[in-house]
Amino acid sequence: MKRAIKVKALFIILLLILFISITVSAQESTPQQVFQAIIKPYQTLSDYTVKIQAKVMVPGFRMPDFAADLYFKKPDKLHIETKSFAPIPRNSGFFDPFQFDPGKNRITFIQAVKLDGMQAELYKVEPGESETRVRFYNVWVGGTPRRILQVENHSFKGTKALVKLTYKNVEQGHENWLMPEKAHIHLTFPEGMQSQDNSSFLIKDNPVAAGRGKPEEMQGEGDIYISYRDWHINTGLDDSLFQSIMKSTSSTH
Amino acid sequence: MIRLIWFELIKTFTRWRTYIGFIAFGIIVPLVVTGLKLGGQDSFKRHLFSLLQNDFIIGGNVLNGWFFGFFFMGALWVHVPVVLTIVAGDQIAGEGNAGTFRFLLTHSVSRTRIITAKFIVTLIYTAVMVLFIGGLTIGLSLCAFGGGDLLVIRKGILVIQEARLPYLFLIAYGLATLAMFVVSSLCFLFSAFTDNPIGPIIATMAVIIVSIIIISLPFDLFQAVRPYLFVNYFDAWQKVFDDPVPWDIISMNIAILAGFMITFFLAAVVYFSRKDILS
Repeated sequence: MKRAIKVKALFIILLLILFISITVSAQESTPQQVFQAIIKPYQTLSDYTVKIQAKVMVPGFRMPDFAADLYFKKPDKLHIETKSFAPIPRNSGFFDPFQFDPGKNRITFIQAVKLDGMQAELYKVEPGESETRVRFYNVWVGGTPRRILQVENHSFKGTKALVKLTYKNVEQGHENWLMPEKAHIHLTFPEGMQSQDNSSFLIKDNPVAAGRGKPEEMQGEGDIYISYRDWHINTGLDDSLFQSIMKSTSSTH
Repeated sequence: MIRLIWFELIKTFTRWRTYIGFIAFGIIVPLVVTGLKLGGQDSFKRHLFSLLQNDFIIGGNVLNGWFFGFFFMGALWVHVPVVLTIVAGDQIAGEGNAGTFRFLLTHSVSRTRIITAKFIVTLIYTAVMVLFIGGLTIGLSLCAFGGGDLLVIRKGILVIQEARLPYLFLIAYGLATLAMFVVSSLCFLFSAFTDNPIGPIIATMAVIIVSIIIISLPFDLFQAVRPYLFVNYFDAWQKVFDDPVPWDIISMNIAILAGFMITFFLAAVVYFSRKDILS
């Protein structure tokens, strides 16, 4: 009888050990370590240039597909060069490997999930105080090598952007970089927001006001597809490129 | 008839007041373009895209010459009739005021032919003025800000590729000229009623301002009246920049504007033919 109880107790202990080991292996390192490992291969990246081709299917936007050259310089300088009207989603159109730097964000593990048949981990990333637009991100990490598979950012204004990323290896000399190949950004705009123009007492659709309109708050959902090609990494982009030149380009940092 | 028109053209274009409009817009447009070039373009862009910039980084040469050409035409719309009425209001009333009608009407030319010649000259002046403003705004803006696709903010954002723009602007200016023909025709009609050229100018501007107020206020009564006011069709030129271009609505607008113009002209002819010339 005593022997049977001992066996049972041993069995339960073994089960407990097994359960704990599974949990630990699923979260083998802290969220900070996970994100540190993700950005580690990009530590020597100081700038990049990439050509993009984008298709915009957003409510209220009727525009042809556009091509543009994107420039990025560490830490967060961005620059777009194109003759077309090029609305690039903030915080998701540009690839910024340092966006989720654990030193600047508060990161918490949420759960292990399956994403498109792939095992992934979901983290909540809350930006530091310097970020005024995004409340938090949900970030799906997985694959081999470990990388960011999907990001969902929630802006303070209520806009939600779900970004699905696919990657490719970019060989440059003896270096090999894992860079985005395609991004599908699904945007969900908040309902019921009215711009000041909308609240104007006067009829907007009149011949005097026409032609002097301002874009209104967007509503509904939309998609933006971006494909990236011709990556050039660490070419030593000059800071002057990122100053606000209105003539034919757009910059922000 | 050609000789009559030629004489009227000489009379009109040798008066210095004919050039007030050209001088005014010749100063205003370069002044605004210079202001935009010297930093105003930046704040303009910030203001224009303030609602989009939360979600997007806006790239590209969006505020280019075509954009400002389009914007100027929209913004100057209320002011163009003022300069047109200076000449249109003077066409008949000016003769009465100067006391030259008796001399003019003693010639073996019918009143209808005289008034038709004056009307054609008024239309020529109107067309020259609109094309001058259009050419100046587009020309200067393109020189200052370069080309690119046109961003039209009307029921959302529409981007029109640059290759189509010269053709679209040409049609747009044609429609804008037609809309201004109606203004000139109305002023011309008022000019037939009086011997004081100031009266037609004030009366025409009063009609335009009252019409604008009526079509801008969201009262049911006003909106019911709206289709009967010619000012309602002033923006026919902007419809060319819609996607798809509503050619059926544009054709209807052309017919309505032409109808107003012919009505005002015929009313002027009928009234002037029976008018007792006392000066």
